[in-house]
This record gives sequence, C-alpha cells and structure tokens, in this order.
Amino acid sequence: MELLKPEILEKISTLNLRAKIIVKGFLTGLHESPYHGFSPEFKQHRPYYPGDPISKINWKLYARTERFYLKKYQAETNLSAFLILDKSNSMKFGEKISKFHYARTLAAALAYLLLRQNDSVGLVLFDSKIESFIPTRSRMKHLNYLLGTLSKNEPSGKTSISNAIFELIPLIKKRSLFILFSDLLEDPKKVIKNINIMKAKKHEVIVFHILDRKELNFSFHNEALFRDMEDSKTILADPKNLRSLYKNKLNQFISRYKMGFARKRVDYFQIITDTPYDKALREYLEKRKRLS
Amino acid sequence: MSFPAFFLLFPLIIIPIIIHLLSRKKLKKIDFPSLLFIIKNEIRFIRWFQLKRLLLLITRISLLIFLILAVVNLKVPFSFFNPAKTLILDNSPSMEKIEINDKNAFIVPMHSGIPQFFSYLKKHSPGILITDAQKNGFTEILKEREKFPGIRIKKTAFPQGNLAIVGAESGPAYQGKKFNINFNILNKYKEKRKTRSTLKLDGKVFMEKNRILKVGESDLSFNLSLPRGLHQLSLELEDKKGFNFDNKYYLTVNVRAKQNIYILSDDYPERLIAALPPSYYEVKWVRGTSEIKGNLFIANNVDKKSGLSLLKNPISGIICLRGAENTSISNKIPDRISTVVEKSSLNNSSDLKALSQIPISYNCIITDGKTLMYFENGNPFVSKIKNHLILPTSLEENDLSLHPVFIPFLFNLINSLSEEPFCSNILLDEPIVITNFLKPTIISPKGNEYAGDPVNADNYIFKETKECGIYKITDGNKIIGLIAINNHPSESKLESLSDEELRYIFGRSGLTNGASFFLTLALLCFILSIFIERRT
Repeated sequence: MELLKPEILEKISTLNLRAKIIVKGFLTGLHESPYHGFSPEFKQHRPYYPGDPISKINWKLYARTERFYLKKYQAETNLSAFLILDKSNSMKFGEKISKFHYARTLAAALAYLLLRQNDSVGLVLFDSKIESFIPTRSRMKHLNYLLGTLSKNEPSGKTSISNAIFELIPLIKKRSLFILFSDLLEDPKKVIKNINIMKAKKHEVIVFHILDRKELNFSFHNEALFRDMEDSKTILADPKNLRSLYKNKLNQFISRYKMGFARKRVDYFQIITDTPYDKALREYLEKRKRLS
Repeated sequence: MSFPAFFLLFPLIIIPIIIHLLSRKKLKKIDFPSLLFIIKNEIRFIRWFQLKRLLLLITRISLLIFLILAVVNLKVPFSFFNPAKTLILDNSPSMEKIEINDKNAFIVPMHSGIPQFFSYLKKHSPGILITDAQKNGFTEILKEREKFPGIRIKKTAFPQGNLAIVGAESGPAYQGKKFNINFNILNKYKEKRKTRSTLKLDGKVFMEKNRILKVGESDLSFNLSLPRGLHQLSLELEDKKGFNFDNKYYLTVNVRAKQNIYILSDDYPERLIAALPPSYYEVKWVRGTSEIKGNLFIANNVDKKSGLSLLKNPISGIICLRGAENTSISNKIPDRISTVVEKSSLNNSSDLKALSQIPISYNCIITDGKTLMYFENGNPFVSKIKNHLILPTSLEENDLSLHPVFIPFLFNLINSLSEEPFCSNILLDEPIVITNFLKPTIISPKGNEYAGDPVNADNYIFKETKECGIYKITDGNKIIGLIAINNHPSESKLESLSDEELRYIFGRSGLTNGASFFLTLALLCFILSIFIERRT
C-alpha cells in the first residue's frame, strides 16, 4: 500500500489514473466487498457462519428450513452523491501536498468508486460561493468530466461553506448524499446550521475535514510573519511561544464541529494530508457499513 | 588608552547594526490557512519581539564597545580584579611600620592612631590609601609607588585638629633641688580641649593633671624634685574627645649632686658665673692656678704657660686658650671666625646643633688630644686631653656667650667631664654614639638587645633605634645609661597632601587599566545577548 501514500501518488500527473490506482489498490486489499450493503437488490442466500451479523439472517427462510441463511445483495444504481469540494485559498496550504490536492484526489477516488457501483455522482466546487456545479450522472463516461473539472480548478477566494451550502440546497431536489471536503475554516455555528437544513431535507451528509499535520501541530520553529492565505493579513508570531495556546484553540474549534455534527448524525472524518488515501477510504466505508 | 586604535576599531560597532537590519529582512513569511487561532497574541508578542530585537542590538553594540575599550585598555578610576589586598597604609614613623609583605604590598600598622581609621575602613572596600597624610611620611610609599599602580585614593576625613607631644626641655637636675620639665604640645585645635596628662616616673604613675588647653596653648610644665641618679620619665596626654596619636613622650633625666666649680680668670667672669646658677653649683673665682680646688675648674682666656701647667692638674677642667704660640698643645694663627659643624661626638643633644648658627672667633689651633667638635673649616673646636677639655677661644669674650645656646653648651661641657651616667634624648632612627664604654649593649623598650658597632677604639654606634621609648645601656652588669627616643616633631603635624602630590605618587587621577573590567562587561553582555535570544 506504499503506492497509495499521498506524496507518491501526487507524482502521477493525471487525476484519472490516480483515482483508479487508489480504488484498485484499495479493492485489492479488501477481503470482502465493502459496498455489498448499499444498494439492496437480493442476489442469493448463503449459509450462516459464526461471526456473521445476526441482523442479516433471513428469519423467514429459517422458519421454513430451520437453518440459518444470510441474504446476499447485488449492488445497483440507487445513490445520488455530490462531492462538494472547498477550493478556497486556505486549501492551498500543505507541507508536502496541499489540502486541496489531497481533497481533490480523494474526491476523484470516491467518484470513481461510486461510479463503479453504478451510483450517480455530481460535483460542487466552492469558495465563498459555488464556482462549479455538475449534476449527478451514473455513467462511467461522466467520470472524465468530473475529473476534468477537478483538474482545471485551483484554490482561490475566501471560504464560506455556509453560503455555498445555502446556495446548493435549492438546486438539489432528489434525496442525496453530500460528501464535503473542506478545512472548515469558518464559524462552526453557521456551517452546522446550514448542514442542519440539508439534514432536514433528508439528505445524508459526510464531512471530510482536511487538515495538514503542520497546521494541526503548529510545528514552526522561529519567529515569522504569518500571512492569512485568504485575506492576506500578516501577523508576527513566535510559534514556540504560541504553540500550546494555538493547539488548544484549534482543538476547541474542532470539538465544536465534532459535537455539532454528532448531534445531527453527520459523519465527520478528520483526515490529515499525510494519511494514505486507502486508509481514508477504508475509514469512510467502514463507518458507512456500520451505519448501514 | 590609544586614541588612534580606538578610532580604528570603533567602526566595528556597525556589525551588530548590520546584523540587526539583515535579520529584519530575513524574517520568514509563512502563508497560513487562518490566523483565527493566533491573532489574539499579536500585540503582546510584537511588543516583546521588538523589545527583544532592540535589546539584542544594544547588548551586541555594548559587547563590541566593551571589547574595543578592553583592547585599547581604557583606564578606569577604580581598581578592578586587582589583588584583594590593596589596602595601603601609611608606614611612616608616626604610624609605626611593622611589616611589608612584598607579594600583596600589605603594610600593617600598629600605631595607636590607626584604630581611629578602622571605622572608616569598615565602610569602604579595599583599595584605599590610609594615611595620616604627613608629607614626610610618604617617602616609603614614594619608593614603593611602582608596586601600587592605580591605587584608589581616598583622603580620610581627618579630625579638625590634633594634640601631640612634640618635645620636652628639662632644666638642670640636681640632688635636693627642684627642676622644671616643660613638654611642648602641638596644639592644632581651634577650640579649647579637655585633656588629662599622666606623668610616669620609672614606670609608675607619678603625677596626673586634668587641664583645659586653651587655643594655641602649647606647654605643659612639671616642677619636680627627684633623688640622685638616672630616671625614666614619660608623659601621656589624653585628648578626651579627640584623635589621640603621638600623645606619648619619653624623657630621661640624670639628677646630679651639687658641684664646686672654680673659675680661673684674670677678669671677673661675669657671664660664666651668671650661667652657673648657685642652686646647682658652688662657683668660686680665683686668679692663680694654685688656688684651684673643688670638683672642676674653668680656666678662661689663659695663656700658653698657664695652659700647660693646668694640663697637669688632677682636677678636671675646661681650658680656654688665648692666642697660644706654638706649643705642644697649640699653634697660634691669625684671628679667624667660623661656625661649628654638626659632626659632634661630644653630645648628640639637639641644643648643641644650634651652635652651627653662631660665629665664634678664635686665634689658635689645638694640635694635641682628641677632637670632639670641629669648626666648619676643619679646625678643632673642642678637644680632650686626659681629663681636660681644651677650647681655642674665650667663653667670656665671644658671641657664643651671648647666645641662649651657651648655657646648655656649658652644661654639656661640664657634664662630659664629670663621670656621670650616660643620659640622652634623641629622635627615632637617629644613631646613638656611646663613648668610652667597654662593649656596651642597648636594650630596646621591647627587651631586644643590640650590640653596638665599634666606630673607633672609644666609640660604639647603635643604629637599631626604631622604636619609641626608653633604651637602656648596660655594660653587662648594670645599667650605665638611658636614652629616650621619640618621633620627629614634624611627624605629628597633620597636613594633607595636595592633589598634585597625590598625582605625583599615584599617577594621573589614580586611574587603573580597565582591560579586565571591560572584558568582564563584554562577557556579561555576551551572556545577556544569548539569554535574550533564547528567551521566548
């Protein structure tokens, strides 16, 4: 799985190839199809083995045969997923790989994964407002369009997640899955409020909180002028002096998001940009599996 | 300090300024996603950061300046890293020099005056010159000045005045008669002083006096009557609220028996008789040599023939010759006038030194005997033949007899002929010359014994006169003489050195090389700069 490390994959120029490598590598490492439970179309029965979830036992068949059988399902296109990617300037930050590049690749891999199982996938790119909107399609050809859009865009502008979500909600009529990739650098109260609106409209929301290790640990050494990537304000700061305070504040900030999302049953994943993509995907899918 | 070197090195202080400016430019700019979590620390930190930079600049500039000053060896007006024992004390006789340790140049005083300075010493760090500031006391330090470069000078706050005993005069002391002792006081006070004087005789308190000394009063007199023989006297003057030093004076007195003196003279010896008070001498005037009797005779203005016959007289006498022709004892010369030089072996009394100021006329040269005193031109003045003293001049018809010094001189002549014990009063460090004793020894006040160095067959010289007090002279069996030794009167005069004199002794303003001082400051700046740099 060395190949799936972000800094190595970043050397592969095309996003398409990167996404495929990630998904193929990821699937090769799996012992069991992770997406069996998503699109429930019955395929066959199989005998129960200790360790299988009891909830999957077909009790009607047990009544007839007095033997335990589990239902197996064939995946089919029944999911409409929107990949919502933050392209604000703050996503440009990253030591080895920028948060945007990481999020973009992860989004591409997810798009490929979803399209492979016949889900329809759309794409939204935003900064303070929606910059690109691609409606969902389930054909594999649609992937090229998605990846092309992802490749063309580079970070710019200020972040306003709440505004982007507010703009997005009226555009989506069908019940969908929203997968948000962002560093969430906005007032948590506003963001959670708008995500609540999404949830109220029966949409599912998954949040990938993309962070860089350096941003998380504030691991700078000497005094420096820190320039805000979005509004270009400059501050002279001594990291050694500020580190603990900074980390406390950041942890409080993240906790507010975590608590807010947990309260509204929004899946929240904190992803550091040095995490291998497969691990990020695995975490996501395992969580989805548990929830399903 | 070398000014060219200073100006050559001074531009080096640009270095920290350049570093300061470069480090400002070098400050890294980091693009960061959001300043949400660091913005609140901005003001406090920026203030410290700016202060830190400023402090760093100041310490670095100071470091360089101190290094430059160390290199050019700027002098500073205090001693730094000098040996801790740079306490310099005046070692002049008035302070009594005890010890000089070459390594640390440490002079330990023992004189009673020193405790007066101790309270001052406690308040000040070492590196101070302590002295009674008598000009003549600085000779030792002048010799040693190379050892004390850059010593810090602190003139001590001397008392407003001082009392000291600087001399004593004693009238002739004869058995059964009262005699007067007058002590000379140096009274430098401008107000009256309460004093207590204690006169000790042979080690025991003999007389005590409470007295208020008026301004300018300079005498303390005692009227005494003592038994015959040698006596040790000392006077201690206590200034009750003052600065007591040089306040003890030693004196020796020989109380004699009354003497019969016959004066042989053609004319009535008016001045001689007047000079010999009847209280102490029975004086008789005679015209013929055959009439001489008693203990002693004075033959004034006698001719060659009488002189020769008097030499045969068993009674000791003083023979004053008149224009003698060539004889076995004298040669006639044209009339001359001369003064007496000080190389006297007759007596070391300071009174006799005054003789050198009096012109004495004479017209013959004593060719025989042992010369005790000389004229300035080398001719003998007083010579001794057997038990007689011969003088080439008349005691009556001379300027000498009109001078106040005549009476003590005459007493000395008489005393040198009478076989009385040796009794003398001298000043510190003056040698003692003792005549006609067989290997005499002197015992110092502290009990140390010294053997004299022979000068010739009859004379012994003692140079170990470095303590004030009374020295005893012994012949091995008994005490045959006493010598009182006191400080020179000028030692007791408190006179501060002028700034010019201090500069002469210790160099310009007492400055010392500042290399070690500035190197230390530079080191401190270096440590401080590191501390500031690491401080967050």
